[in-house]
Amino acid sequence: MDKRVILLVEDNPDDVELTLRALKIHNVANDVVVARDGAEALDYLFATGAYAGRDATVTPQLILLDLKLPKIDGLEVLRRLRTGERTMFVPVVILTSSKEEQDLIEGYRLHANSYIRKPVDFNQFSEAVRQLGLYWLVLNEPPPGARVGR
Amino acid sequence: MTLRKKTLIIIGITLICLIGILYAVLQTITMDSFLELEEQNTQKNVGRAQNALSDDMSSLVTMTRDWATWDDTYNFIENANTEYIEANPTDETIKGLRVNVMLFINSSGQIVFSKAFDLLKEQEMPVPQSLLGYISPGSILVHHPDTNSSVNGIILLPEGPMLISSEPILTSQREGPIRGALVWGRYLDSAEIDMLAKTTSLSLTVHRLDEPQMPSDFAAARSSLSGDKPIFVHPLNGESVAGYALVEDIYGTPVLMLRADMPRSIYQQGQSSLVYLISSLAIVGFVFVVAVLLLLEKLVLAPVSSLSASVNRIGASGDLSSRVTIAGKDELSSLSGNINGMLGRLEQSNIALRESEEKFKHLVQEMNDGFFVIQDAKVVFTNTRGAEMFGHAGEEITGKPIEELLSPELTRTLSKMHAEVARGKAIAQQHETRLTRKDGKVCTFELSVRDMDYAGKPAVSVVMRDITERRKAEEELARQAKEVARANAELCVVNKELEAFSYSVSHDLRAPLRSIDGFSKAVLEDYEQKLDDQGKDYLHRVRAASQRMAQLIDDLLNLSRVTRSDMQHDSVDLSAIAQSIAADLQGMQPDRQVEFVIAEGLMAKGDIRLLKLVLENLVSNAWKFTGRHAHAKIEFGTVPYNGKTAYFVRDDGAGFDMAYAEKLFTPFQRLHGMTEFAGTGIGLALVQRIIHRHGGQVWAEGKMEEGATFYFTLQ
Repeated sequence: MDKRVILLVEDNPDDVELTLRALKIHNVANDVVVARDGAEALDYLFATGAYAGRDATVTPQLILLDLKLPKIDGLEVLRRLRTGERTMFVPVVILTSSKEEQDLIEGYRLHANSYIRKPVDFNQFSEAVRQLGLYWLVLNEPPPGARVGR
Repeated sequence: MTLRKKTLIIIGITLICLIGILYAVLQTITMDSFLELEEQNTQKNVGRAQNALSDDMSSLVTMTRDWATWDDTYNFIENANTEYIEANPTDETIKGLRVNVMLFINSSGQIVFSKAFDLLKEQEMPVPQSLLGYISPGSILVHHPDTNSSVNGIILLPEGPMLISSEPILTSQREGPIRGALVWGRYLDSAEIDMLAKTTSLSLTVHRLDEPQMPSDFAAARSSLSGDKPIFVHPLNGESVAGYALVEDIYGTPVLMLRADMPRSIYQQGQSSLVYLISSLAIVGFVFVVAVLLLLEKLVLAPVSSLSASVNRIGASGDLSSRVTIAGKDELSSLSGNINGMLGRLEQSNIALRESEEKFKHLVQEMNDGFFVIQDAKVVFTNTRGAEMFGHAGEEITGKPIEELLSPELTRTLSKMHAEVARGKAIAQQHETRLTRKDGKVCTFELSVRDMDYAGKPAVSVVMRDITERRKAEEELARQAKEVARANAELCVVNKELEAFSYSVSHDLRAPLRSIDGFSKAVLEDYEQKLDDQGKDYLHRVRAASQRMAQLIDDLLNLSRVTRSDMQHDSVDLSAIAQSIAADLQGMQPDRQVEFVIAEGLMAKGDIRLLKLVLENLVSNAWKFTGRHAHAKIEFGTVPYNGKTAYFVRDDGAGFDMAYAEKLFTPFQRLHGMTEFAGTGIGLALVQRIIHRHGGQVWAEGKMEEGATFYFTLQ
């Protein structure tokens, strides 16, 4: 089975750690690429900047996107990747603390596939990660022709 | 012109015209006939004169013939015996025969005996030589071809026209041979003509045609006479008419003209008949005019004059209560009835007008605004209040030029308006001005200017209102509005900041809590063996506290969101919402014995999302606070409250002490311990905010351990 990459866009190292822990607990075997801000996420996706050598034709199987990010915020990242020819179909799950109405509306308007509010209770958080891992990585069929992996 | 004069003139002129036309027509038709009749009569008379002349001639012929066919004469011509001369042609005989000339001519044409006699002088005279010129052998007077021959007629001699008769001399038996001719002549002199005139009773005149100085009427008649028209008739004057005829000599040549004069009796008769007819018509007409005028006077003019006088009297006195009277049952009396009716109505409307005028006068005098009438740049009327506005008494201001009262600009404006009104333009304008009153106080006035008629002339009415206080209040209001706008702008800024704040709270305050909880859990899992029970307990407490704080943050955010969010106004079915909440609650805790009593069809106007939040909080609270009772009852219904509808949610649960009823709605304020009933103390604060935003009230009633009732109203 191919290595399936998950792109985790998250600036808070605690949240990165907890997310990775939750994924590990639920035996999600995929490689996780962590981008610490919006610019880094875009660099990775379009193989620019620090990721200039990467094969841009290979896209992540799932993007977990925080909204409040340094440099370029999550909604802008979403908007740009939805305009990219290869990245427009990549499943994006917004994973954030806020459930402000404006964020929800804007997120879906920019074609986010899902919107999950990070629960404070780790039990609940862990459960959420399990379910989305199961759904997007196992149950969901990616669009045809998408090359996944590193 | 009076009706009398008019009637007289019209009838008079008509009558005169009619008579004139009649006269002209009759004159033309009748007088023509009379003239024709006159002509015929004249012709007949001229004929009679001609006949008289020919009778005269005939008598001469008869006498001549008597002497010519006589044996004595027959013999005398042969022997010229003197006995015959002595016995027969004596002076006495000739006088009796009225013959002027006698010629005895033998067959050889020689005059055997001749005798001429002047009948006037009664003496013999010589035979006129001119006559002898006609006597020659072979002339018609001498030569008679047979025994029946007879020549007679007129010959014109220088001495005068003469009737001449020539007869053959025969035996008494009228047998030949003819021995010569007997010629007798009689002058047609004035005596002869007088005799003819006497015979015919006509005035006769005879003129010779060879007269060099023929009278002009004869000359005119001569040219008018011809073979077709043997008699010419011509009136000489109004009194007489003349008829003319030609008289021929023995040769058939016209030599004399005869004129017969006669009075114009027929013409005059006709003329006078016409005059009588017209006169009688004129008299009849005059009588008719007089009768009509009298009738008109009696039936129409006199009553009309009297009516007019009555109406004039009423008009002059202005006494509308008097009435006019006309006796009879004709149109005029009905007119007087109508006038009386009109007077009655006029009187009524006058009374109404006076009343209305009183009313309006009162209104104008008592109104709180100043009222002015301005004409020709002068105040011609004002009410008391208007004068007061300038600090004057009413009389002082009347007649004043407006420039003494108003600003030059306003004076100009009003004068311009008055000029426009005078030109017939309608105006209605509002002006505002500041004026200094007589007492020195500066006031603001609002002027409503309109066109009007005053004393029959165009004028401008001005209603003046002192709006000093109103203006002040408006300025104050404007100032306050500005302040409110400023405060509102500030509030908007604050609101924006608050929004940013809650956004950041929602993001940033939760993240550390998540780390605290997450890593506590990690420690509990990863280092379980190294921790004793107390250590584990502490970590559990850390986790519980962080989760509770997350809940508090969420509730706070909800509270602020309720205040900020936009409101929709829909028709909301509260009963349906309550039913749905009750079902959810029972679904979550199916083992609880709770009876729900929810009134059907309770509708309200408001924001469906917010009202749902209200019911969720109230019903969940009721559910929560009945949790310790084995059986519970939760009701949702309405009660009348101050004329409005109050909704209530009632339970028979834990209840509360009414002493703390006010504290219930304060955020984070709780009447029960955490261990007793869970909760953050935000729910009721949220409910209160939502109800307030709907313009309603919320309050609670309760008793310890006997339950609680929460009431709310909506706008």
